[in-house]
Amino acid sequence: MVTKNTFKAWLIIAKNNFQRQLLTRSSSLLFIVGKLLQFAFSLLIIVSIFKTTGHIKDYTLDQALIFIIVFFLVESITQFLFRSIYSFRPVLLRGDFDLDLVKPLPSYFRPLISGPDFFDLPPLIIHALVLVYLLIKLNIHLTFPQVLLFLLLLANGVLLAFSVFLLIAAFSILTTEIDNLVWTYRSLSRAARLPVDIYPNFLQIILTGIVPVAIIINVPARVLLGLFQPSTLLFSFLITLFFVYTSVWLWRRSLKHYSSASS
Amino acid sequence: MKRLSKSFSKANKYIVIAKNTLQEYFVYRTNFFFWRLRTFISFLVFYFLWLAIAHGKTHVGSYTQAQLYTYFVIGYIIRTLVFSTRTSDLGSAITQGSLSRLLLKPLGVFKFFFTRDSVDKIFNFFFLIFEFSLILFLFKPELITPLPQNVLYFLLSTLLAIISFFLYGFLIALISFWTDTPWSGHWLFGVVFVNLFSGQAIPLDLLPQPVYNVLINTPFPYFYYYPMQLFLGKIPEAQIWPLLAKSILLSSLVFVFIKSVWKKGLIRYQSYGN
Repeated sequence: MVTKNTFKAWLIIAKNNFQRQLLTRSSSLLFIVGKLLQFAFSLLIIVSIFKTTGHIKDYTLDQALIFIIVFFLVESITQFLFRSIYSFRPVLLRGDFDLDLVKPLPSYFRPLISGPDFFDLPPLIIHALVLVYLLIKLNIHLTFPQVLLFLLLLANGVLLAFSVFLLIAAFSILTTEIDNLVWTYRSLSRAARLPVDIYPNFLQIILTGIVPVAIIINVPARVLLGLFQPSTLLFSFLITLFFVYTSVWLWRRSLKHYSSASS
Repeated sequence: MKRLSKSFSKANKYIVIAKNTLQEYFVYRTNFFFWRLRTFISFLVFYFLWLAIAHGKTHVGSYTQAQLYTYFVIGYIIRTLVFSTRTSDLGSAITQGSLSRLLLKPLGVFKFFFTRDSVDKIFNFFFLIFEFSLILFLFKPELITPLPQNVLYFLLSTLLAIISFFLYGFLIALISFWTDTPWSGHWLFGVVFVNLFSGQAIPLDLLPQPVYNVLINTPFPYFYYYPMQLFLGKIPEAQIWPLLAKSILLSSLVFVFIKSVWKKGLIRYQSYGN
């Protein structure tokens, strides 16, 4: 799927994108300020809620903070990598996708990974640093296998997010609708700021099996808190496998139905 | 008679704009459906989050369970009516240069966007009726029964919130005269600030006192928090009219500010190749 040439092409495009984003400094600053503000205020909201209620289900404030920081970390990674999904609709409407399909690159390159967003890098670094700081402050001593497992499940979450975005891209080829679908996914992912088992059963099922934000976001956080059960590992990989297979299959089917504006 | 027919022809222009805006929605039906779905799901996420927070507790801060559910469920009306806006299109028109086309037409740009915004809200309102019924039917939330005068205050403050949010959105769009992209200003001031500081995410009085004191001196609580406080009857009678007067004053100030920014922005405006 990902060859050396694809990676080379991604690096060139990433470099160009970075240069383009540097040209619009005032806008860049507004975006980064907004992202950091969202992060800080979300932490404040969680602290305020726990100061008022003491706990949510069996979760403490410290645990909730780890969950929410991991949420922001995963969001930053996926937004950095897959930002181009947001600009795919105009490409489809103009019929420009043809020009990408004839290039020696994977067909998913344009909709998913052709526009890494460097506005997400500073927040990503800050989220990671805050996570490390909090783990130290809370005296959460991670073993080496725990760190490895966290990174493995983080990577699994990114792959799963890739599949979800590919499904959205496939759907957009069939309907030309994309923006609101991506935002619907983002809205649902916000439910995973806190552990999904605080929600009613039907919502837990949706957030685990249908739009698997619980696996993308919650599962890595559970490893850090020692709330992880070994069976979850197998389940997470199986769900990812299912989503990767389904999304690739649907993407290929949708490409067969693709007709450009000039066709 | 001549003057009357002139006024009719003036109004007629905006009726045509309203019709065209409505037709746009019917062209992109799937898009609109998914926009409503997104708004609905976004609400559900908040609703269930607060349901989990309030579970097993009689009070969360100064709110009873029923008051807390009411704060978010009735707040769905505000989310739909106040926060649905087309003013961000003005930002795109400025940066892409298509504002020139509008400036050349015998139209008021402000009235043009006000018409589009009104149509947007009316259209969203029809969906709101259906979605709100669905919420009541599916989740049967435990809501408070407000006093009739509180409903009136709520409606009045929501109307003022609609006007002030339109003005605020318009003002933010004008930032595009000074930035390279239309989205950065809109996103920070129109999305992030409004989402965080208006009280949509959390009743503001649950935040630490110093933060609360700062926020109630900004325009944001007038968009969501105060209308909901009025519905819940949490604002003492003596403070209600001064609060509504402050909201009117705020809108008037923003209106005056818009006029001055608009003039300065037009001097700066360039549209290459248009």
